[in-house]
Amino acid sequence: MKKFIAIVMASLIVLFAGCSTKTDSNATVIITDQIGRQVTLPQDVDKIVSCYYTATSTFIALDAVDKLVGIEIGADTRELYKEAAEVLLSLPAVGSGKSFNLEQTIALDPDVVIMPNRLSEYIESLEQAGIAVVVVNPESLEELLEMFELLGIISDQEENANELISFFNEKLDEINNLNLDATKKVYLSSNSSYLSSATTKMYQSFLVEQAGGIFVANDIEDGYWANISPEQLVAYNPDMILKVYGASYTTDEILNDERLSSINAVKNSEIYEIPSELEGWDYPTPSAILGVLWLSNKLHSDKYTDQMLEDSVKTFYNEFYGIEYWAK
Amino acid sequence: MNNKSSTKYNIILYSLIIGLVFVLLFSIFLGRYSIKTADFIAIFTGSADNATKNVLLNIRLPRAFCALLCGGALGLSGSIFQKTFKNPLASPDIIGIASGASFGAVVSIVFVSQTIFITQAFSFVFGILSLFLVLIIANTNRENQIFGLIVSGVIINSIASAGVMFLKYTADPTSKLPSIEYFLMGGLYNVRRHHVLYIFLALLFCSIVLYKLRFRLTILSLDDEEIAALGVNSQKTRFTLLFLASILVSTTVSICGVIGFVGLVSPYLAKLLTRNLNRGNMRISFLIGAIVLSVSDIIARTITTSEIPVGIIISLISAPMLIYMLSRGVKNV
Repeated sequence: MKKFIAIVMASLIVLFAGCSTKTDSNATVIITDQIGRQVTLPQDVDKIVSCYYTATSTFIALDAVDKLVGIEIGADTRELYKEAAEVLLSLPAVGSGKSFNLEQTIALDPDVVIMPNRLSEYIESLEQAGIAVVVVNPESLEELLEMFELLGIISDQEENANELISFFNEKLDEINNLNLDATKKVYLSSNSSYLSSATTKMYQSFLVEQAGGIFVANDIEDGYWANISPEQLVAYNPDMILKVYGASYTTDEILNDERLSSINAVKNSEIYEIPSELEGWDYPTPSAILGVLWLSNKLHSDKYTDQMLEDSVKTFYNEFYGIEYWAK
Repeated sequence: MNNKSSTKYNIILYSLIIGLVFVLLFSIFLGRYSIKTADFIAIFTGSADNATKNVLLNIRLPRAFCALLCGGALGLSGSIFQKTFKNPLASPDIIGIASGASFGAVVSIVFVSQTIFITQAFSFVFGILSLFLVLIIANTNRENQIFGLIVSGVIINSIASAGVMFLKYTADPTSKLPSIEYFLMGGLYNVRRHHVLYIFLALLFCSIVLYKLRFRLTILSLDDEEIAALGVNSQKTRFTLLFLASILVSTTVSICGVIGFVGLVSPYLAKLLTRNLNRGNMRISFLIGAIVLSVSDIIARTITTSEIPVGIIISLISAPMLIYMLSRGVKNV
């Protein structure tokens, strides 16, 4: 578990004997980020810029919002922020997966910038400006939990991070102890087309298997979303089709596509959108665990009941985000 | 035309037709969903199970015929472009029609609707509209007709491409952008049964008009002064031809997105095959386009679980063909 995150050194470094009165401000911590870089951070991080919504969402769950001074672009589209941390909406937006505003970030003078791997080309420029950069890359459950731990250390909320990790482990144990038989085949399509499939490289394939389903596209190992032919989808013959939030097609379009009429999921109308009112439950964020629980309930409602799901969702949002929420 | 060259032309024509029939059979028999010979017989006797019948009638047959007809349409339109412009590099990809049509699709995805039918309608209309823009701009230069058309085509092409880039830049990266990329990539995964009818009607209409124009077509390869001396309005003929080519290209783009290279390679190969035969090469170009797209699509949809973008395969198989023909052509000069 601690493969990537090792606190190599957390001791005080006194630079000059004569400056002993300033020990606190010179204290540093060295951590390893999720692409294996060693990063030196001040012991007390006060100003954080997060240009990745997964990280921002985690900071809310860790109760570390007050340390954020800048966040990713598009915060106004995130319902979770509006509900749980409205103050975020007034923070300067510095970047997203598409672009990154270097000058704005430097002007905010943060102690550390948290960014996704795809922005890593900016690391050098930020480091030259004397700003530490931590890259997070949560592409599996393990890496997601590592990210929680890492962000807990950075924001000095390690206890909260441990609580979040325990919640994940408890719920996963609960599902594992139900001994769900994987009998139903599940197909998960992207938001661009229902002929675009999640691959085994993606977190979503773990989600399906963890929830006691068979991930149909288990022979597509490359890339993030793979286009498949309608014939391939008929050959897979899934029992359930899941579409991600914001899909550009409707359930009716799938039901009315005469090419897919022989598929079990179409015949039985087993087509669902993964709940995403607050944030997508299929993405690697703190609420990812709810995606697993929701799908377990959809696939095995006899064993993981509606009531069990409702209780978990309510507990999760109440405990980590301080809000009352229950998705239908 | 002497008998010898006529025989040679017929040999080429009929071998291509036989080749195309074989390719069509392959594309009906091959696919990710396994259908055994017994199942094919069962379909004729009406005892096949629903899934097999569905795959064959709703997926494989429409896709096989669409690949054939769209490939043919691109080949034919390429041949028309090259004839009109007297330039082997003129193709639907360069003269703005294809980019105009894809711009239309992107406009629909971003501003109107992502429904397949509406996107296709926009794509078709914008393809035709960009042709009219090309003609209007070309008309401002009366000195050299062909030069004017090519330059205005290139202008419209770059404007439409810039439009596509701008809309991609501003599009919502989670909901709109993937749909745009998906459409622009080109491929036959979206083909439904009614699309076969659309492309068939477009081809039928164009073939009839081309047949009526066949004498003017022969004259078009002469110099503009000579054409005028024969009392033929070369501008009117060229505009009509471009209109036909645009209908073919716009219909194709609306069905299967932008599929490059077929419109360039097919007429060029046709020309090399029929050189010195003094015969029109539109039919040959149609057949080559149909074969190239059909073969590419079979490969794209069968060799791996996920679909390989068909454009990659077209380039991989047609570029070596072109190089081979080119080297042979040079020797025989």
